[in-house]
Amino acid sequence: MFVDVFNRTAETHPVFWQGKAQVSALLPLAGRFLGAPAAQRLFADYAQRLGLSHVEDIPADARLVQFVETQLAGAIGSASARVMVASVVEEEALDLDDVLRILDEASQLRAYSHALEEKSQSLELATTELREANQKLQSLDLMKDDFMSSVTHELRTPLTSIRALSELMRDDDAMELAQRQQFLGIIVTEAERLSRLVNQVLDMAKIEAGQADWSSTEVDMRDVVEQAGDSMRESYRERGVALLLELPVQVRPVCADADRLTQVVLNLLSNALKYAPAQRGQVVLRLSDTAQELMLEVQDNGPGIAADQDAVVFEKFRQVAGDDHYRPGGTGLGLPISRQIVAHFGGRMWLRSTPGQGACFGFALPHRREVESKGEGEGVQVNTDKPRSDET
Amino acid sequence: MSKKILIADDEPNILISLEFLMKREGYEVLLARDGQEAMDVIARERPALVLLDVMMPIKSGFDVCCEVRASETLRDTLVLMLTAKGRDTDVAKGLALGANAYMTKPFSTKELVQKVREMLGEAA
Repeated sequence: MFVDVFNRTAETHPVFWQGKAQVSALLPLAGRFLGAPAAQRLFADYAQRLGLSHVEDIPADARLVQFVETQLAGAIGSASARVMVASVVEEEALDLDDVLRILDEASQLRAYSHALEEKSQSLELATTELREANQKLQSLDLMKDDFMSSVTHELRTPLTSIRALSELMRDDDAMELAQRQQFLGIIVTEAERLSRLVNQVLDMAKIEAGQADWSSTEVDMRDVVEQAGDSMRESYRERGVALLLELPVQVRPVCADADRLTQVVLNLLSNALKYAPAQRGQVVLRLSDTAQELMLEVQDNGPGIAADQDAVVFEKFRQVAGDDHYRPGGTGLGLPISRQIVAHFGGRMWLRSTPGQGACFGFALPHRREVESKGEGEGVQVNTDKPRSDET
Repeated sequence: MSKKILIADDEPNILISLEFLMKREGYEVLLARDGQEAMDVIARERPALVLLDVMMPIKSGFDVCCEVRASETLRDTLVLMLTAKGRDTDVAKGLALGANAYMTKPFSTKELVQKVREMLGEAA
């Protein structure tokens, strides 16, 4: 359908027409008066002007009707031309209501098209967001896959020694006692490693799932350090590493879970012990108050850690191996768990290290947010302000 | 003369068990604790077979396998990959890189010995 906006009937006042036209009707009509080849040529030229390759593709609109009328007018006069064209074009005059309805429809169509465009734009945006979310999910999936693969590896490795050595002993009744004792010792060590790993994986999973139990009490960090120092003393003595605890007379309390903080300090002390050189190692633990925080640092005199490994040491299952094949035992979960614990109580954890000059791991916890503690000055001080050292 | 077998693994306790096992089976045993050391020993000692761990420092077992296969003189070395990961993709990667066989840790010592004998063309 088309509306004649070209004013083909301009003699008096504008009259609007609506009509239906078909190329298949107009072309033979033109052919009747102009000759078929000439009509075909005319239509072909017309199509070409519109950028169309086939005559059949020409839109049968008012413009085409006018074109045919003009062409026929040259041959049979304009009035006859109009009558002839009208005979194949079903035309009728429109009243104002029809015109308004058509205009209304047109403007509605415009509105629809505008809304559609907006919809399509927001859809495009949503698609982009979805694609990004999907990528994030995929990388999370990959991380989970990596985690599973690492756990699998860490579980199977000690199992390999345990199984192989057990089978070797089973298959050899005549194995020398010393040999048997060595193998049994390894089996026990690897079994312990396995339990430690299982416990830490479960611990990590609980913390990450938000299902860990946390107590929160007023904690004197000096007690925590003393306790951790006591339980590590024997291991330090065995490896010939000196442990120095530098504790101030008094520190302000923090609000945290004492057992969890002990776990963190034990982790730092045992890491330092692993990397400090045997027989000439030295590890210093320093505790201090700043204006806002309580700070604890553990400095060893081991090989240190390169700057680009700073972030890596806090990742799961990442151990920094020296190039001398020294691979300290451990699950690669101690530091990630410690960092989670410190973060849980609003603190932060860091590593400062210069290769060749040892590593220094530390953390800071915010002071308990309350007015000064009441026990101040009561003086149940066990420590002097001189650093205490536990030489081996 | 007994055949030479190289055991390359960064886990000292796995080295101890495999060394004992392979010596018990009558092989001459060489040890390496990382991928680079494994390459050096392979080039120097020309073992008939390598028990190759995948996750090793400096050079992975995959890297070692590639280098061995790319070398004119070493490419005939038999490679038995040992991995604790055991994902299908890891197995496929190992075999694609030219490993002759693949075993997942923990393995049965009996099966490992069988596999080694089979690869060396010795009757079980």
